[in-house]
Amino acid sequence: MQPIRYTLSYYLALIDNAEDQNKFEYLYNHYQKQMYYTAKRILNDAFIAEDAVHEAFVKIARNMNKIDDETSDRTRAFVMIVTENAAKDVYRKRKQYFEKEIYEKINEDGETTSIIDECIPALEIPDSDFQGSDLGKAIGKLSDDARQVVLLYHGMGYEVPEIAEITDFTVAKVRKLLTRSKHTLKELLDAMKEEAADER
Amino acid sequence: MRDNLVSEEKLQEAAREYLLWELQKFDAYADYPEPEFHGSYKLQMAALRHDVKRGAIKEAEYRMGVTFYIKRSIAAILLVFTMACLTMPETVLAGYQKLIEVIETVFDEYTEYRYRVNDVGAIEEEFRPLKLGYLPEGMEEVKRRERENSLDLLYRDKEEKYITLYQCFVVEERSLVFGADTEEVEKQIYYMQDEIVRLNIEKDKIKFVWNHEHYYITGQTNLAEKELIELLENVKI
Repeated sequence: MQPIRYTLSYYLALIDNAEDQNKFEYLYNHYQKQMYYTAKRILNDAFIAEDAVHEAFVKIARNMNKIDDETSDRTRAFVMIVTENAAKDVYRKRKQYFEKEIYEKINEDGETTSIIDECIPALEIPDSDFQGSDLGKAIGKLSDDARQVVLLYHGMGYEVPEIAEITDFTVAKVRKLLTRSKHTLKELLDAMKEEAADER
Repeated sequence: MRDNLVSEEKLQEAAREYLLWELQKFDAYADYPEPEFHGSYKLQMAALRHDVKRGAIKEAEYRMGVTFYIKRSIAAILLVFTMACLTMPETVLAGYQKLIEVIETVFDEYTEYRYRVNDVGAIEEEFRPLKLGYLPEGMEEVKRRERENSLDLLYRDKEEKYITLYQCFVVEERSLVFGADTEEVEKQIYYMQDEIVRLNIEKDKIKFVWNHEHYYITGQTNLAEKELIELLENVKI
């Protein structure tokens, strides 16, 4: 992606202090490509992926208070998850639009035809192929929302209110997801054990 | 039941393990080829520069070695692909700014123009159907469909020359899409009434898209380009 001076400027104008601006510039220069391919993997569409990356950068710019070290795993996880959510949001909005509005036009023969003639590529969120610990595999089988919350909370140590801001969930939803996930993970682990026992 | 749940310590360890695995995939994208930025962005940047020249947006203070632009009177950010709403009546502009974001996406078969309105303030206005101040000789209205926020028109003459027009009110947070075939298409941009009209000129027809104030006007015709432009220049809303 060509570095676009205009674009970076827009985001920087959302950030108040110089230190955060420097951090943002680092993220922008170092993770733009990764964010793009992450969004493209989900959306299966290069052009809408650009849109999602833009949305993600706006989100990041508004949440610079969650970034200490711009090179850390914690920050990269934050950037990755914000991008994934932005991709899903962009997809949802487009889908809602197409489902809600059907624009018709009168063609040159005076007949009414639908303008909407393209398909929206489906979201591509493949099943996890994680090959590590059983508990890690179980985490991979959680719903997207639950997995993100678990990873941010248990994996990266974000607090519940921070997770709510990152994911746009309510605090109540984050807490509920964390509580339920523990039970779900237990069930998933039990199921894996049973499966392993059956195979023997 | 509670005692059987996974311990916090194990959960942290597994979550971290899983997250690092996901981060490896994220990091691996750094070795992928640089994505191409599609060409229509350059057209929009040209439109942005045009806006600067005519004073619709101004350069903000030089900061961090980079010049950027802000919409006059508010510190709103021009989003990527945003084109400022180029001409609005002063009564609408006062205390209110609207950014209409136009994203032009070129697919293989067609071009998608996506309009999204980010309301900064409220707008209270009824839909005003357009009127044609000029119509080529012999053409007459053969079909009209008016809805609350849209208008569909078809004009035709005896020699099978026609023009269709679709006018839509761009309000609230929603995206509108117009698709136009772009294979073997010549693209033209006209600046009209300080706004941009995009033409897709094919062998036997011209498709056009025009973001006029807070309306979007699109259509198709087999009139000559010059006649189409004259017609559009005399559209009144």
